[in-house]
Amino acid sequence: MALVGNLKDIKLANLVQLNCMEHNTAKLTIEHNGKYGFIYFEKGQVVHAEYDPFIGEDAFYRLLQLFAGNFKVESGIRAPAKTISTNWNNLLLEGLHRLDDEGQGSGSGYTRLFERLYTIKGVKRIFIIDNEGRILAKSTAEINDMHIALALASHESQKIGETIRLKAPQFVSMNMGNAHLILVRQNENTLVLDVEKKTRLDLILPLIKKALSG
Amino acid sequence: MPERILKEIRNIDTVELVAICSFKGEIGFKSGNMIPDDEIRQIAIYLLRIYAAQKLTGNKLLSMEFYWNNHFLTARFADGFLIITVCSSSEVLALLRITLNVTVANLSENKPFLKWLKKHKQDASKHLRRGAFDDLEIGLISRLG
Repeated sequence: MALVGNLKDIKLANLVQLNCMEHNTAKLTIEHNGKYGFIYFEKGQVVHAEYDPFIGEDAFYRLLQLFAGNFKVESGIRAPAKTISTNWNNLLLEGLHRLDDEGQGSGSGYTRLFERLYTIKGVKRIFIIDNEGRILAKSTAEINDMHIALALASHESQKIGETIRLKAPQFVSMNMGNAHLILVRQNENTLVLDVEKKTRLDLILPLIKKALSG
Repeated sequence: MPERILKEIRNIDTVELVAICSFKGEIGFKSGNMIPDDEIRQIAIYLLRIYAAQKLTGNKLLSMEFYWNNHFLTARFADGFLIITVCSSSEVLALLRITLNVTVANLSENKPFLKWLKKHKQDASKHLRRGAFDDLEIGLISRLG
């Protein structure tokens, strides 16, 4: 029987560690925003990973960046190819180092914030941009080209507040039909949450506020 | 008729202002005086810049909501115009969203309104090319699309 769950409940790094320590031969499938990734284990070693368009260690490191997504572990399935030869301990360590380094201005601070935000039902993706649109941290590899337009939206929102003699708004909600974004200004940066379309703002905003107060 | 439609929105509890602006940024119809006209026009221009920037990245912005402690501003974008409302309670936002959707549908069939809209037709992207910009806006707009 396959083990299924969501990365909101168990970190991918823990899932990998579990399979390696149990000396499993298995296929781990992760589905995130309609995109699939795979990690294969053979006798407790990570031997292959795929996450379009990446393959091997690159794919493994990209998958480690995911904080949410449905997963399934199927025992006894062997890898179609061997693209990873690094010992799982080193592989995981390198992946976690990269996670800390990659665009995370204040070390693991954002990681903990993202974890808290991901416990909120309806949150699909999170990223933080600075006022010039640079991505400081992200929960997923792909965020398209929206960060510049969102930095502008955050800046103009602040100016709307100034126009009516108020500070920057606490929250800005953007409904784009196929997507629903919530912008939260944090000093010079903007936290962007991509939430499910039908998310009720009156329910989710207090939870975001609580997660931010930490 | 647009005035009657605006009154319906104004009748929602705590709604203090409702304004219909063209994509030129001009106020066509308004009910409520809590924000002077020149400030409404300025807000409309900021909103249209956001709308145009999203359009450039392939997204169609339908609505925005801004949350302060005791003030809430909503913007409902439609074909060639936007409706700005300001209220002081978050409890009416759900009703306001539904009412604004109905309003957009009604306005789209309202001849006097459509006549006014035709006179004030403009592509929202002009607000990314013309107007007063600060350095940050200039930098961000230059990197769009």
